[in-house]
Amino acid sequence: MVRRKVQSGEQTSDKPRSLGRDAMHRLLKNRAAVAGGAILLVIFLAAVFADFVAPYSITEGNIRNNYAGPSAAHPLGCDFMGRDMLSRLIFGARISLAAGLIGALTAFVIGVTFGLVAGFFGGKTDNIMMRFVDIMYSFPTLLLIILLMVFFKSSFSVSGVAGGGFRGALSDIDRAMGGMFFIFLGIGLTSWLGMARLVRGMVLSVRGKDYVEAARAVGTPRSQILLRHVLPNVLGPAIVAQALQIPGFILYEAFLSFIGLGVNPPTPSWGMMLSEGYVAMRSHFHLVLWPALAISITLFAFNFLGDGVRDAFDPRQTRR
Amino acid sequence: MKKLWLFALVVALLAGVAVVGQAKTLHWNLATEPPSLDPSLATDTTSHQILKAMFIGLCQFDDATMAVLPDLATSWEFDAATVTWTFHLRNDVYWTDRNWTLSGIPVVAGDVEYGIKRLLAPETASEYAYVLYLIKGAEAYNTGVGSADDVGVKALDNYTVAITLNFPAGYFPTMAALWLCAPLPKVAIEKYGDKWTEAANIVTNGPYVLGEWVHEDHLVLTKNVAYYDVDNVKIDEIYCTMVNEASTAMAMYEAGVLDVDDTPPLEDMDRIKSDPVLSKELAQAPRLCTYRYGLNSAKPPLDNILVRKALASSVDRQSLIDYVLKGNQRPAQTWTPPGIFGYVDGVSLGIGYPYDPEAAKQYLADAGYPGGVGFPEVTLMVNTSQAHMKIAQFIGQGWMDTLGIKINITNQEWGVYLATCATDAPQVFRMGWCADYPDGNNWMNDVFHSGSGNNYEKYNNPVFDDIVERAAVSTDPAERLDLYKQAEILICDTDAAFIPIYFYTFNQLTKPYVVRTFAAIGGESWKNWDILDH
Amino acid sequence: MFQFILRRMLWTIPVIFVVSALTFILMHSVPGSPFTRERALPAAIQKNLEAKYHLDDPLWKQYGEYMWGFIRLDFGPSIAYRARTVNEILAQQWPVTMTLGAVAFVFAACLGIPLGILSAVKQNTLIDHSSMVVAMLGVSIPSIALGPFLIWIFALKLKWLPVATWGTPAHIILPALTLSTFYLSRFARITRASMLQVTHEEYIVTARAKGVRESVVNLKHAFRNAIIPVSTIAGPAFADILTGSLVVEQIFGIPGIGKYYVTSIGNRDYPVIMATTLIFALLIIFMNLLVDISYALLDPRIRYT
Repeated sequence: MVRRKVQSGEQTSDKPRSLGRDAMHRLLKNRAAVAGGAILLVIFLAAVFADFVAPYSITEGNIRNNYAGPSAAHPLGCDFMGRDMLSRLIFGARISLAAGLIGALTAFVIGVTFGLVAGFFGGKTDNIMMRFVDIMYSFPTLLLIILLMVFFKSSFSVSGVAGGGFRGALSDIDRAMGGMFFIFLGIGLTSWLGMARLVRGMVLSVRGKDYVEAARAVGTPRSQILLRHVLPNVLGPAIVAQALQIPGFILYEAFLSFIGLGVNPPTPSWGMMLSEGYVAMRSHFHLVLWPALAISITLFAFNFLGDGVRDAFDPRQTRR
Repeated sequence: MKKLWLFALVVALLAGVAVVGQAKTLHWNLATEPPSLDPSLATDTTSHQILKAMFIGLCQFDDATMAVLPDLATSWEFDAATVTWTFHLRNDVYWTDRNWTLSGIPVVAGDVEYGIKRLLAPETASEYAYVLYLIKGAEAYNTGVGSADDVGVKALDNYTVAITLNFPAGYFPTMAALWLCAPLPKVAIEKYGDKWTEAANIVTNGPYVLGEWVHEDHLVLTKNVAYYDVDNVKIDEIYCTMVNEASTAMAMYEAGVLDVDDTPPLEDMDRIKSDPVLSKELAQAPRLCTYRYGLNSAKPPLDNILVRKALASSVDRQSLIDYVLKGNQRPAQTWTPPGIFGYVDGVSLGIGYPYDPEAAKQYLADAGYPGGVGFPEVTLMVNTSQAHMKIAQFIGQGWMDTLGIKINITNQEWGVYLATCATDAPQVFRMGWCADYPDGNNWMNDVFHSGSGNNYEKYNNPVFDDIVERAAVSTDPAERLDLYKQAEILICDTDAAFIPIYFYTFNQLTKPYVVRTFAAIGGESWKNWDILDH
Repeated sequence: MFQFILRRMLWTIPVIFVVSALTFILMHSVPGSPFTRERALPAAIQKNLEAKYHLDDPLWKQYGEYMWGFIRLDFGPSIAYRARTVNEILAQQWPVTMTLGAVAFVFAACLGIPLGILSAVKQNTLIDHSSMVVAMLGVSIPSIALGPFLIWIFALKLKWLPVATWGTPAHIILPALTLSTFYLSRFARITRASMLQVTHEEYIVTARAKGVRESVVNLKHAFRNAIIPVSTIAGPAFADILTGSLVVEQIFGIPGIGKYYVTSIGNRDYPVIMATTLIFALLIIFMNLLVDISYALLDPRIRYT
């Protein structure tokens, strides 16, 4: 290895920087993205440590305080049951982030599996699977998710009495999770199409690469090729792409809770709080203001961070 | 001199034109598009409000006292021997369409007979037909085993109608005041079929005609100049918008677009009551509906009466009304609301379970769960609606705090909810009931008789069934009152079949220039209203 | 090109069948018939009603009958509203939703795209930064929060615009604005990114070197190429705006098909649910086709086979 004489002031390193490290470096230089990331980190930590951070529990409240405005004891005021808004907002972060992350994860798993299978096996299988995706693309997502949620919620099984096998079991799980399970399922089942297409495209392009051809020529079994060559190259961009979808899922959950097809009370989802406050908006504005701000700020931060991540991975630097 | 006269004449004419030109329009909001303006098919309050303005019935209710007054029928009498009510009709009522091109067709007894039989016809599939089952042959005809000719409604001549019942029901005139016994225009229905209720086709006889109906958007009622009492109808036009969101409607009222808001959101009640202008415009009147939490006594642990008593005694109704509902509703310990024949004042008579946390804890301890230890989780289910979920959270939280038990609050969309309650009701579920006619029979018999489809609690007590059946056929008011009192004691106290929560009130905001009445039952009587210059 | 369009049209047939079948199955899996009421109907009556609407036929038969009618453009009777057929309901409600959607789309495009161009041209200035912040806000504030807020400010406090419902052009403004903000912002951001990407291309540099005026450079050369990525999201934009009208119609009390859809699910008004979903799906396909065609027209490098 030839070592070049280093001039003073010149930045060097022996190893070429990987794409990941490069991206990280660019990301950190993007102030807006860093700010967004910081905000999200705060929200995330608050959500995880809600039990310690929140001054009150979500059900603790004195009805005589209902609709109270901000005060020393309750910096953000109280809701219609006299419960502390700040505490409910903090716990609500859990719901929104969970919906965003786990919904994204569900869609991710379904989409990646689908795309991998279609892209890898190719031919007829690919054709049929992709046709299915194309068809489902035409189904208006909002309508589908509403139908699905009504369907899920109707599988209610009363405690102590089985509602009917599989559906009853699912509904028990949902109840235990305060109504979240069906939301994850609903979001996951309606949002995997883009991921499937993306992954399939990437798999097709990787398949054509020389090293895959070589591996096949040598006789490497298909599963090995899938795991060692295809998957690692596909997973990275797929994760980034899915992460960029998270704000959309948070909005989905808010909307579903808003129309009553989301979580069960007293679980404090921001969307549910919005819907509870919306009717009181003109008399008690703070009931709507805080959850609206919470959702907006979270999405705002996510969007900045997402933009930064996308730019960081983009080799063509078009600004700054 | 001559010029002065001329001048005065012109002024008078102009004034006359100005007065005539001033059409009085009432701006009202319907919370939804009326599902049907066919009297045989309408089941909801929105449709009934419009029907009340367009069609007249045999009798009508006095807005305040609910006494039965003449409308189409001027007088009526009962013959015990034949168990028949005979109604004598006016002869100056005519059918009309919206342009008054259809003229001179009188409303006759045959139209009453036609209306009732059409309601009962199996092909009409009316949901309210069961209310008229007390008419001879009605149930048989409606369920398809009898014929129309055997139904006990006969037009004896053009202005006399005889209705024969299965048993002497003292309360029948109240049913004659219902839209169910109203005459219907055979000519329009046979000509237009299902579409006869469209504005272009409909034929009515009431104080207003349907001038325009743009679905999902608005409808307009215009004063019927052929109405028999038209001189007393002051308002010329009623313009009805169809905005679902109560808060949007409230905003429209405040902006002056609506003259009346009959659904002010409870969240705005504090602001309304403290606002100098709005507080004067707010009126609260009793409404003949009761809100209850049904209990499924077949599901443990609610099969233990002590558990039911514990739950019933730990509902803080007054706080619910003061802090959550905010509409000055009245707490209910019994079922039938005040104003209905058969009402008993449970609070002062000690019937039912008042809010008593100590007693509640004692009941629970006696049931074997002191302090709530060992008590299984109970499900409280309501239908998807902000208001119901808020009430559920309040009451559910109250149970958790007072009794130390675990409540799971859940909700289902309305259609699914009803299906669930009908087949396998959860332990606690929310239901309401509004009066169809002002008599205890509608509350006790129609709802809680063991054979009733409205009996979601599946309450089955032969003693109760016997009491309400006897009350239905009795003609002695004193005896009936006593029987209904016994019924209240049975279901609300002895058996604790459900928990009555509150009696509804109307909360309405009305602009000061609207001179109005408040109807306790059915829809508002717009024909008696007036609008002052403003 | 013609072959491409033809194939796309043929494509709609399997889509219609899959979408309708899925909707049909989901609808009928939810308990509760259209005739469940709080006051229970006598069993005989309920049977009569179900027979009248063929609800007692086996499911596959009901599906077949419905699709046969659909092909002939007869969408059946509405179960909830006995005096109206689905065709009549749709004929009345669809134009309202389409108008709202179209106006929202026009707002989004005519306000968003110029905003993006402006930001790109004035890159890194105050205008650029503030526009992008506004765009970020637009993407982050949900319509369920924005709608009531706009009503509060513009209709109640300032009294400039009507509170709700439909009727005059003034009634369209607030709901269309609420509906358009998300895509307005997306259009702005994508246009800006696209313009920036294009301005570094060689042909732009050449044009500038040739001495072509800046505005011509921007409009004639940059814009024509920058608009291509924007037009790829135009199709989904319109589709999302249409479905988003569900929420906005609810908030503003607008008599469109979106508001009706939610009620018809509650009413189990099967014919209405089926017809609405299918028409939405068809519209989405149609819009995507239009977008693809415009894509080909804008970019001569694209050739469809």
